[in-house]
Amino acid sequence: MPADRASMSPAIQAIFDHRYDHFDREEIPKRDESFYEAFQEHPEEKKILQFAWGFHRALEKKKIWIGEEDLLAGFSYRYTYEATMPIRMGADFDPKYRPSSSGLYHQEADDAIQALRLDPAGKEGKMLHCFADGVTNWVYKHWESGHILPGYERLLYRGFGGLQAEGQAALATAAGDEVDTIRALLICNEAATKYIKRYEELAKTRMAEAKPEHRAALSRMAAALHQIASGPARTFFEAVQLLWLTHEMLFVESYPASFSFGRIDQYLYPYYAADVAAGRMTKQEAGDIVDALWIKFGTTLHTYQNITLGGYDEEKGKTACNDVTLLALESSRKFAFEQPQVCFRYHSDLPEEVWKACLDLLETGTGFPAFFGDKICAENKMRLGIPREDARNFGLIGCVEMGIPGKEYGKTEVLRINWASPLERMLQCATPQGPSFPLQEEKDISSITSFDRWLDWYRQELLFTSRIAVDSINLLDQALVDCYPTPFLSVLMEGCYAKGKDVTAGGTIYNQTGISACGMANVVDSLMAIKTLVFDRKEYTLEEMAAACAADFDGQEELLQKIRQQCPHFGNDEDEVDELMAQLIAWYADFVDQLENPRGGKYQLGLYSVEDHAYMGQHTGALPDGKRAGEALANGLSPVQGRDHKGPTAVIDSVVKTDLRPAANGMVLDLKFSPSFLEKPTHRHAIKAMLDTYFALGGVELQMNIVDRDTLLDAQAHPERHEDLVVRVSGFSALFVTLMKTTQDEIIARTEYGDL
Amino acid sequence: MQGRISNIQRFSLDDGPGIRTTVFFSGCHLRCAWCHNPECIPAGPVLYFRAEKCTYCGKCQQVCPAGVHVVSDEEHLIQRQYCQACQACGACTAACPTGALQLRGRQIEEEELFSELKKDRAFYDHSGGGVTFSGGEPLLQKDFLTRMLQKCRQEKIATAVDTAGCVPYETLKDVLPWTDLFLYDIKALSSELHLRATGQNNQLILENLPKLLSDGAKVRVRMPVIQEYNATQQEICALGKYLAALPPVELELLPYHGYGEGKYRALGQQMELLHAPSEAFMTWAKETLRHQGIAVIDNESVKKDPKRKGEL
Repeated sequence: MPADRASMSPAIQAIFDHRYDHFDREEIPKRDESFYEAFQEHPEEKKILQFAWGFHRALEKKKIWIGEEDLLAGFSYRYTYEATMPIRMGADFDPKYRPSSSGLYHQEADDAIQALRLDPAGKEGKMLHCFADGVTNWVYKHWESGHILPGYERLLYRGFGGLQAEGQAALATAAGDEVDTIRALLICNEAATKYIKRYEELAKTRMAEAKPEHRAALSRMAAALHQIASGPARTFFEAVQLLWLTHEMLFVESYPASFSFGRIDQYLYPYYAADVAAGRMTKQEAGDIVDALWIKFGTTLHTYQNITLGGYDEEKGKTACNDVTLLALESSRKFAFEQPQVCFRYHSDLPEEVWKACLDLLETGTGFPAFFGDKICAENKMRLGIPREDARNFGLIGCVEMGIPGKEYGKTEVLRINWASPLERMLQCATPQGPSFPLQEEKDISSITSFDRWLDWYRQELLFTSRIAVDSINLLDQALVDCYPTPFLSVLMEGCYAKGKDVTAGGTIYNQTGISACGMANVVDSLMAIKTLVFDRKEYTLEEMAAACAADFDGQEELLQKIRQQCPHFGNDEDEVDELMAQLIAWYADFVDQLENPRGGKYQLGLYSVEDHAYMGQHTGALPDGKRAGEALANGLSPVQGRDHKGPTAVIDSVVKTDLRPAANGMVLDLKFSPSFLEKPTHRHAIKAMLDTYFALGGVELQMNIVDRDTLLDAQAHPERHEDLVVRVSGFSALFVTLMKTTQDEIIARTEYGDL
Repeated sequence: MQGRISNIQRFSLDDGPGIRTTVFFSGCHLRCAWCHNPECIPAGPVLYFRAEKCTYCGKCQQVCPAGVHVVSDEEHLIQRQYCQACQACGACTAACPTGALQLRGRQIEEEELFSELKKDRAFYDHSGGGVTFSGGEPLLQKDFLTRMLQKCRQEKIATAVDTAGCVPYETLKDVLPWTDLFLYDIKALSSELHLRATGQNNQLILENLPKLLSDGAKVRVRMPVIQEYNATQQEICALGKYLAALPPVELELLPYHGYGEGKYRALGQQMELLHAPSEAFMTWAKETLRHQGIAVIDNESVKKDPKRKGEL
């Protein structure tokens, strides 16, 4: 949906129209060059200090820009690197080299073997390379991305000066390695102040040259920059300005794919309320400031800039939604941008105007807001031992991962397991080539005489597959812990100054590791097809099923149809298959509960798939659930695309039979509705009742695509006509035309609910 | 006890308040020209063929005792001219691997049906919804319907009965104690028009409604509005006059939609080409009826704010 320019104020229209004017690709490599220079200049320093000097240099040299029409200062790029941990530093530092984002998984394994002084031919050395093979072939997804909620809120209240004082106090009592770490953090802390002062000077220069009508805004900007260079934010405008520039600086240091904002409507509201009460700002002016921030979000091209809105205030016993919630929802509707990603903490008794704003945003088809159960999400975090007070302040990171702002380094995207892969490999035992990735036990499948045995074997292999990954991730975590420190991010995270530890080394309060699953619905549907057709009805043998999958069901139309029409599928509220899902996830959650990482944290289970259900599906052959080779796997915990045929309540009833409390790393349930569906008042009411019910029954996340099939097909055929079409993928939204075809096909194949 | 139904539809939002599960009963004695549930008209099972799912495997042809199916490489003819010969025995639907062939109008045990109806109970509770018995004409299976209504009442599930009211009053009166809401269809006030459009006289229908109301039933009157039949000033005014003389009752006007088209095809039947009335007519009709004191339910599409014209 195109942006609704008509509802922007003239000042915002001007910013909107000029938003791409100063984008300059040539600036992008300069960040890496700055780091490189700093490394050359400080060859003897510790790595964390080298990084701090790199950051310092990069901020000094970074292009900054303020347009005459701008309300907010700031100018950001999407840098070309993707992960946070280049390993080999020092003389052979290659700024372009990033493991685990560029397919260099074996390189990463070698580096870890070297760092930990492992025997390459020993058990662990071999395992690391086995894991690297698995990642290359999409048995796993491994992404060394931080994914984090920086401590923006704390920064607003203390300012960079306040944080610096904290650092200096810590330095006074520090010893050993802590000293260098704190020094590094302080270098970054100061660099941030200097960077904001550069903007202050630029704002003053601009003001001197500006047309009279722009001077007031530029003057406000210059004054705010002067204040926030080291002081705390005192007004709504100063808070938003500090927020944005800090966000911008974080991307200069590292690119963990997601710097998310947490509960932006909550921590900005006190500033808003005070300004409005004192007559310093009108609601309309606040709206323009939020719009200006949204244009920054939407123009940087950074992915997964997630904001969290809404929620329930337990202390006050009422909704936490406020005017800033409404302004944020309205800005998102107006621009219909892919960024920021909007997550909403849903609770019953939502104020009518907030629900209306949510619906209006949903109708843009962007898939925003995604809804999260306010109560259950906090409870999921509490299960990990996080105190209620912190858990209740959860925000969403990246896609759908619950995190504690400013206090948690969760590595939410470090590992995803393709659940369909072990099943595929078990069937491959019957083929001449054998399994494509190791199994714990290769079997003659004709010897398996009951479904229970088949299921036991599957569990055994899923655990075997998972253990390789978890053990490898833990080794990599130890090996890489000081390879790519992020001292500036550490300044913002609680505990790092005090402990004298970088955030990547466990400096902050909570240090989890995400382990997500993918393709669950394909697995339970496949298991049910095997149970039904092989063991119950005895119409096919396991070998025949394996051969049909190996042949991608070529010439097996009848089998394919029996699978699709006569076997149970997850998502239709049929107990047997739904309970199989519930049992498998509960059993897997028990396994995850036992896992610990070397940073003193736990593993947390995710049931969402980003875009990996498409990638993993591409690299997974045909499955007994009727999936053809190359087709996507199911999205998050949603049913297999097009296999649910009893409507959204049946899907929800199916999903909530699974205990979702262990899903502390988030989950996704995607429902697709035709755009005309939301037009009737009774339908709008029903959607709300549907959400109320879903969350009352224990749901964690629910997202809706409001888009029709014809539009999507047309966008595939004529991408040039649909450059602004944003759709919900899995836990995030993206421009449809930029998605790969498998993902596009997957979205088209999802069951669409319309006027029945 | 068993009943005969065509379909169970969950997340049904247009057959009474809230989120509902609608049960479509088989059998109807009206033949409304605009019927969008033609598979519910026969009182027995009926062969239902969804051509887009057919792979021309020919299994139906092999098992059909009556020679109804003729399948070639790229065509599947159902010899409707011999459809008297089709006994809806179900041999072909059992053999069909793709679900292209189905029987609609199956016998169902009360327990099986009720267990389906209970499944969305949490959604009913949160939305003010419940179960709607529709069809077809559910009152043609009064005993089964009563049984289901009683079970719902026992479990505190709200119920609605969607009826054309063209039954002896005693039938309505018998289900009344167990029914929370009647969706009561009036298709036309003019008896000549009603006969032409539905094949039945409307006298019983028009006589039953006042009795139902005076016996304390909660009723929502629904009138399908079809350009070619009842979308006339005369009909709307007559409806207003008729309702104005009754105890207050809410009214829903349902503009014609052609969603039933695929069903006609699946039954090998032709659908009469009909149209929805103009928006202007609907607006006029509602205003007129409201003037006469009728509570017309508004569930029109939310009109987009005209100032929100998008541009990039």
